This record gives sequence, C-alpha cells and structure tokens, in this order.
Amino acid sequence: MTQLDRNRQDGSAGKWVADKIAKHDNVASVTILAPNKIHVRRKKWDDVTIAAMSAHRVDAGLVQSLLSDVGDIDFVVNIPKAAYVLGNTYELAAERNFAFGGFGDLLSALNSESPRTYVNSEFSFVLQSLRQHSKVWRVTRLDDRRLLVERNSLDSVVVLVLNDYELTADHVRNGIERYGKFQAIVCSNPNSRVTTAASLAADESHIRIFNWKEFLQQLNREWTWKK
Amino acid sequence: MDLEEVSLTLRELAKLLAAKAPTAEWYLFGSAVRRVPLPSDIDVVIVYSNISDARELREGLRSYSESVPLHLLLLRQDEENELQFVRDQRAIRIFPEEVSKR
Repeated sequence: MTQLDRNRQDGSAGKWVADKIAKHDNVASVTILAPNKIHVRRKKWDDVTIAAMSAHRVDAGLVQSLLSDVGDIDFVVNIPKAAYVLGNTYELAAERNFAFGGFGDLLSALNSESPRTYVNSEFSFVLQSLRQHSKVWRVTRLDDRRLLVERNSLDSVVVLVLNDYELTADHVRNGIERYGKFQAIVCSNPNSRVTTAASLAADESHIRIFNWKEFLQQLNREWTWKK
Repeated sequence: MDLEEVSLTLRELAKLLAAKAPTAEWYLFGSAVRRVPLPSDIDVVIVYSNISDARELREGLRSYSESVPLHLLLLRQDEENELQFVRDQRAIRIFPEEVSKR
C-alpha cells in the first residue's frame, strides 16, 4: 500500500455511495464493480461509472492513485463535505475528462445528460462571472474555496469564496487556519448573513468580507489592506 | 441516511466530546430532518461557548465525517443569540437530550 493510498479512508465508500444512489429518481440499477467502483444504469441517459473515495485532503496524486485502481470513470465522488481539495485535482479532472465533487454534486450530476462535464453550479457562476469582469484577465482555482484573481493593471488578489447562509467567526478562523493566505472572504450566497463575531474576527486578521456585488466593485480598485 | 441512526451516532459522539466542550448543544436541521428521501448531506449545528470548543468539536467529528457527508455549522452562543438559527431552522436538539416534563 502506498502513502497515497493510506490517505484515503475509503474501504466502504463504494458501498455507502451505491446504497444511497440506488434511491435516486434517475437510477435504474447500481452494481458495485470493485470496492471503489460503481456502475450505474440510469432511467434517462447513458450509464455512469463512479469512483468513490473518502479523504480529508485531496490532490491530483491521490486521485491519480484511485484512477489507477479503477480505470476509466465519469465521476469521482469524495465523501467528506469539508475536504480540502487542491486546485490540481480540478486540473486533472479537466485533463482526463471526468468530474470531481462531493455527494451532493454526484446527486446533481446523475440528473445531467453528461456527468463527466458536470460543474458545481455555485462555482460555475463564480468563475463565469469573474471571467466576464473587465479588470480580470485570469482566474485560477487554488483549491476548493480559494481563487487567485489576476487583474489588468492592478495587483492580483486571493479570495476565499464561501457559500454558506451564515458566515460565522468559526468560518473566519477555520478559513485562516485551513487555507492560509487570502485577502478577503467573498460570500457568493446572496442571502448570506454575517455575524458580528465573524466581522470582528475578520477585522482582527485584516481580512475584508464582501458580498458578491461589493467584490465585483472592489476588483476595479487597488487592495491596500493586506498583501 | 437514516435519521434515527444518524441521531444515535451523533448523540454518542456528543457524549464523548462533552468532556472537552461541556456546554455544547447539538442539533440536526435541514433536509435530513425534513425527511427528504435522498438528502445530499447531514446538517448539524453545534452551539458552543469558547473558541477552543470549536476546534475540539471539529476534530472530534473528523472520523465520522469520513463516512457520511456531514455539514457542520459551529455557532458561538452570542452568534446563536444574534441569528436565532436554531429557532428559525426548527432544528432538533439531539444533545443534551431534552428532559420531558411530567
């Protein structure tokens, strides 16, 4: 067993996913082909092959090791919802033409004609919206929540994008501990509420919190509060 | 994700973690509580007192979150007072267990 394999605690991930998606409206039957490999026959559209894993930290090397076990697949599902996913995972997925996501993403992808090209709707909106901004020339996904935004004639910025309804002090503290460097937290959820404690925690760390509209406006300006 | 099974597991974890975060109150909310046939995750909110509790609680749930998609929201007591999240979401308390009045 390699070091990479030891980072995956997913001996029963395939069975768990298979049991759950058997109840999905668009699923006709589920077959477990290997401990981490599931074949799904859908009521509508083509069959789907899924690789299931469970890791708190995901990178391209880890997914590569899974793929070498399971072969060609349409979707890689990772069970821990709060997993830290490095940006090179998404690059590998795009390169090798499969989709990567959590269990909720898999449920949505099973309702799409082409699960291989599934992109989480929240991040699809975020990336598309930023790429249309006149000051932005490139956006890179550093990990599951951080984006590097490179701007025309202005310094690049790194932001942590959160989609929670409630933005709490724990989100701020855990965000700093987990993701390290970023200059602002951007709430992509239009209904997000920021607690007083979250604002104070952000102030203490010289991090600004923006809603989506404020963020798009701030991209036209120099960011001077934290480098 | 069977609600009773999830509640039972979380209650056991809450009991174990009570030594580290003694005032923490655990609740379930969201799609699992609404008995959606195939919830995409298990929503748990824990109301805690001190910053150190949050770290202990997250670490204590790490192993369980490998086997189910757990959405963990950690709210400090003052944040809960401000948001009234538990009331608004009609969250169900799982720990400490409610003592029924006779």
